[in-house]
Order: sequence, then C-alpha cells, then structure tokens
Amino acid sequence: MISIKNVHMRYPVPKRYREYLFHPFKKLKWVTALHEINLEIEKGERIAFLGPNGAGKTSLLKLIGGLLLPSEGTLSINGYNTYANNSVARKSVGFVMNEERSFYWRLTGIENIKFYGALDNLEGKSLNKKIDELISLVGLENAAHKRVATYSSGMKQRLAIVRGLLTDPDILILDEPTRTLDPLSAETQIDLIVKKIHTDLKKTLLIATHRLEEVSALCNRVCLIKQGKIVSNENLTTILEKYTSLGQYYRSCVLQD
Amino acid sequence: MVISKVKAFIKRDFRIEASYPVNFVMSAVTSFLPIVLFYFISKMVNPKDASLQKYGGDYFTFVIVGLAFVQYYRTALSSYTTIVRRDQMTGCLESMLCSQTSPQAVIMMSALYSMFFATIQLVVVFSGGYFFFGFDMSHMNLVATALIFVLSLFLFLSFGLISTAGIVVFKKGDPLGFLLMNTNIIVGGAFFPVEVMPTWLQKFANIVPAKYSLDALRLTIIRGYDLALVSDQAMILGLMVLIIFPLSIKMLLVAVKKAKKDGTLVQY
Repeated sequence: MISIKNVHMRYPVPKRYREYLFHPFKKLKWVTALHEINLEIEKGERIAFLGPNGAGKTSLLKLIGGLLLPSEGTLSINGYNTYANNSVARKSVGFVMNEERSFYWRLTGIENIKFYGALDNLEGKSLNKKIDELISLVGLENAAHKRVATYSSGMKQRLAIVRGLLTDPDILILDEPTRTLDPLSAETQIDLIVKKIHTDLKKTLLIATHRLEEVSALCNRVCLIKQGKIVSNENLTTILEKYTSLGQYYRSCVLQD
Repeated sequence: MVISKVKAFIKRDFRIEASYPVNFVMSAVTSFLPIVLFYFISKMVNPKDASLQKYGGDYFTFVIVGLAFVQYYRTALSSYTTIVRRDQMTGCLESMLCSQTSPQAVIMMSALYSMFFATIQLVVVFSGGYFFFGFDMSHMNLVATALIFVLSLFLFLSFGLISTAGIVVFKKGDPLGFLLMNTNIIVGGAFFPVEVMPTWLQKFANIVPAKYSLDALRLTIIRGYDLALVSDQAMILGLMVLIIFPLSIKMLLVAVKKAKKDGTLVQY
C-alpha cells in the first residue's frame, strides 16, 4: 500500500539578508531531516510514529501525504509515485493537521468543509450528503453551523477529521491528534479514531504522537524515528514482550547512541 | 468542476470580508474618495494644456480613467501574494495543498474574489464620476475598451503570478511587485500624461505596459476610438501577454515544485 525506499529529505537553511549582501554566491547549507528511510505499510495497519521533537516524524508524514517531495529515493502509495504522480497518489491520503488554525475562523464549520470539499472535486448533493455523514460521525451536528472561532480545540480537531475523510481516502494521517486536548476529550478522540475510523471505516492510520499512553490505545505497530532515521519498527505486542512498558522501550531507543 | 471551485473561492473570501461589515463598507467607500479629490485638483489644470488635447483636454476625465484602472491593475498584481501569504500564515494553504486541486490552481484561484471586488470598485469609480461629476462616457467604444482591458488584465495578472513565484521561493519581500507597480503608476501615465516627463523618462515609459494600456483605454473611452485606431497599443499589449503569460505560469510551476522539494512551500 505504502512503499518507501531509500528516502532522504533535505531542507535548505535560508540565508540571512547579510549573507546575501556579503556572500551572494556562497552555496546554501542543507539540513538532513530524514535519512535513508525504508518502510512498507500494509492496508489496515495502525502505525504510531514516535520520536523526540525535530526527529522527522512530521516531515515523513508530509512526504507520505504528498505535501513534500523526497530529495532522494522513491515513495509510492497504491503503486503511484508521489514525485511523478503526486495528485493521483494524494487521492488515497487524508491529512489531519495538528494546526488548529488551518480553518477560516470567520466561517462556520460547514462553510469551511464545503470549501475544502470543492477543492477535492466534490459538489452538490453528494458533497452535502458526505458532510452530513461525517459531521454526525464525529458528533459535531450542533456546532456545524457556528463559526469556527467559537469552537474548542477538540471540536476543531474533529472538524479536521471531517476534512481529512471527505474524499474517503484509504489512508488517514493524524499529526498529534490529541495534542491540545484535555484527558477526557482525548479519550473521546481516541475512541472516535479507533472504533469509528479504523474499525467501521477500515482506514489505515498513520499517527504521529508524543503521548505513549495513546499509542497502545491507537496503534498496533510503532515506528520510532531519531535524528531523521528509523531506529525501531516493531509490532506493539513484540515491544511489550521485550520491554516492561512503552516508556522503557522509548527511553532505551532514544537514549542509546 | 472548475466552476464550483471558482464559486467556492469567491464565496469563501466574500463571507470572510462580509463578516467584517465596517471594513467591507469602508473598502467600497474608499474607492470613491479619490474621485472627489481629483475633481477639485482638475479645477486647477489648464484644459488647453497640449499634453491633454489628445484625450479631449479635460484633466478630470483623463485622471479618472487612470485612477480606476491603476487601482484594478494594482489588485491584479498584488492580490495573489497577499492572499497566499495570509493562507500561509493561518495554515490554510497547507490544508488546501492536501486537496485534489493543484498548488498552481489554488494560487491562481486565490485572487478571484479580490478581482471581483476590484471590478465593483471600478464600476463605483466610473459611476461616481458619471453621476456626480459629469464624467462623459457617451463616446465609449465598448468592444475596443473591452479588448484592451482584457489584454491589460492578463498582463498584470501574469506579473502577479511572477511576483507570487518569488514569494513562494524567497518568502519575504516582494521587490518585483513593488517595482512593477510603482513604475507603472509613475511612468505609465496614470495621473499625468507621459508627455510632461523628461525625454529620457518618456523613452523608458516605452517599455512600461501601463503606458499602452492607459493610453488606449483613454482613447477608446473618452474619444470613442475603434480597434483600428488603437491597434498599435493592442498589438504591443498582445505581444507582451503572449510572452509573459506562459512565462509566468512556467515560473509559478517551477517555484512550487522547488518549494515542495525544499520543504518550504508552506513556510513564511
């Protein structure tokens, strides 16, 4: 379903104006965000991407979502290369950003979703029907016609899930889905993701998170990234057989040289 | 499909703008104020001035055409960069780029509402001039005016796309947009005839698109010239569009691809 082979991702370090002035021909410096990533993901998996801040989790998810293109290597989704067939590859992926501000706050939830739906080539009755289904799936019926500015963090996250599921993608990427939520809202969110989105809608889930307690609730496989490299990629059951807890596993992977 | 996307972009920005009612009304009113200002300034200008004779001798009529279209061209040139930057900063651009619409289409459609609103402002300026200050449009040749206008619009939208390509890659600052806009306003003859400038500046004005656009528009609107009489200006504008429009699309495509590869597309 998702095949990542020898993928590298490098970012240029922007020059300061001073450097442009005094060293205009000096070459840009590059930072390696991901180094030699190899990963195969099958349909129906629930994978957690763990790792310290700046490890490269979000970069990897953005590469899978087709928002970034690899500097080297190949990444294909359902057989479509994200570099050569970006828009076709993107059809299979829904992206739920952790950025709550990625909605127009002066518009209502429905107005936002209709706008993004139009960009996803949906229109008319089919779009309205889809929106009704998804709004009811995430339990936002009462707030759908209110401005996003009045939404709580949890509501914005649920609205982002509606947006991510609009095209009925096979894969749903969730970037820190419970980051800004209180424990009870986080519990409801996890329930929604596992029971409704994975079990009922049969989506493959790729989740970047820092919360170890939600990894066991949300995922069946863990991929640990450190300094742009995958240092561990194992089933949750295997991990829990080897280590006493996910915390111990995480510390041992992150702290080892 | 394209029409529903066009509608979605216009609806989005209309609703956002209309949610700030005072600002919405003020924007419409603001476009009317310069007409009043220039009406009184025109009282001081000698109607027998040689440089104005070509356009009928009335400075107010001369300037109102320049004012209306320069405002329009300014919007065409700057609206892409303004909206793309707003959406970069709110995080909405990233969400749009996850959709089934290509990045270049997202960028190009972002300016639709601004252009729609600028058209309303254009109508406000001409209507205000016509109803309150005796601006005479009775001689206007509609076909020739429309053709020159469309050519000029494409040209300035192309400059806007080139400027946006710069923003996508370099992020801050828009030196090209700044240079193009101010050159076109000052040297292009928006507020005074090109003939009053020093000879060397008049020579420089020959490469400024606004000179041809405003000259032709004044002649078709004020004097009622038909297409044959403004064919020189139309051909120059057409040639510029033929070269710059495809170039601007190519530059935007290259810029988006580069930014996607560098991972900087949504950075600001």
